[in-house]
Amino acid sequence: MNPRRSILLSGTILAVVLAGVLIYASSQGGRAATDTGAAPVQGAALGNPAAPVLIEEFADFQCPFCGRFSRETKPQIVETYVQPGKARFVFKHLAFIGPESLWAAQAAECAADQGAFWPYHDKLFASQAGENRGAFAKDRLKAFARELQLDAARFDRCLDGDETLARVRADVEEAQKRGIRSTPAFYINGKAAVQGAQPFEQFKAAIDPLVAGGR
Amino acid sequence: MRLWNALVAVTLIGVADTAYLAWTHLFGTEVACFGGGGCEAVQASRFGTLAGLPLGYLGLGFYATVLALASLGRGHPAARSVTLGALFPLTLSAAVFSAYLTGVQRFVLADFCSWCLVSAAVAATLFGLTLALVWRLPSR
Repeated sequence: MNPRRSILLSGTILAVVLAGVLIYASSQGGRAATDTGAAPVQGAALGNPAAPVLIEEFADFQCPFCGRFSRETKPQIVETYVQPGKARFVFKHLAFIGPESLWAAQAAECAADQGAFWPYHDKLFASQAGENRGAFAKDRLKAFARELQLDAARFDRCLDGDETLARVRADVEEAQKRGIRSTPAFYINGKAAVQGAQPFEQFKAAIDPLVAGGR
Repeated sequence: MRLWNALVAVTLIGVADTAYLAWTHLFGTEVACFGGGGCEAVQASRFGTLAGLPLGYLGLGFYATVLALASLGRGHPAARSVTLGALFPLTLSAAVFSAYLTGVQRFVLADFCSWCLVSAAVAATLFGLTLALVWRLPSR
């Protein structure tokens, strides 16, 4: 076979395989995973209630930077501080991007009622796709619940009946009272500490002195 | 020779483009987005990383490899057949993957990252130049 034909033929086959692998990895990638380990879970709160450090995250499930924090930094925070009982991590809703933010927040609380806030939280962040474009339409939110093997009838009733709306609104009002204007925003032991999807080192600098000194 | 020079020159644009994206990620600085403001949102999205690695780093690695191969082919005519054998699948897969990512920006995220679009244009141009060089190889 001449070199030109050989390059075109074998190169095309190799390129199709390579591009296929890249596209598959991209479509599967970036899955958030909250390894709760042995840490106690209470709804959207994770970790020892008596821990010396309380980390509160105000976030919107449609916000890409909240997704980035969830994928890149939170696993390290959970592993370093929450699982060993040094900190408690609480997720609070600041659903402000649009109707799908509110529905996603309500759905996460419906999942919390079935003890599955964190798997549902991870599923939402792994499924982000633009803002208010159907990624978190109610039908999709219900499908996520089925995928996670929650009680589907109970979940649907909860979401359709706005059973958790008051809980979400309470979080949003709390965020407004604290003057939070963007997400993700982090309060540590009641004080504004970190703004945005910052690297782990920024959280470490804020948390370590409190772990050493107690609340 | 002109095509080889063009291949090196266009690759340098890709290196600069992705080096900037990698630099902003490494130092946590804001991406200066031109022609709109979707750069940060696109990069922070779940499509902004591949197996945990930000695409800026992956792109930089790709363009650095292409630069090494293109420089080798430009300076050593005897090595051109082997060099093109590596460049052809690399640039074709990068062009296809970049087209996919451009589609994701348009149809999934509804937001555009200008630096990513530059990289996609560079990847497509590199494939075009590589194809032209392969076409010029002797038939036997």
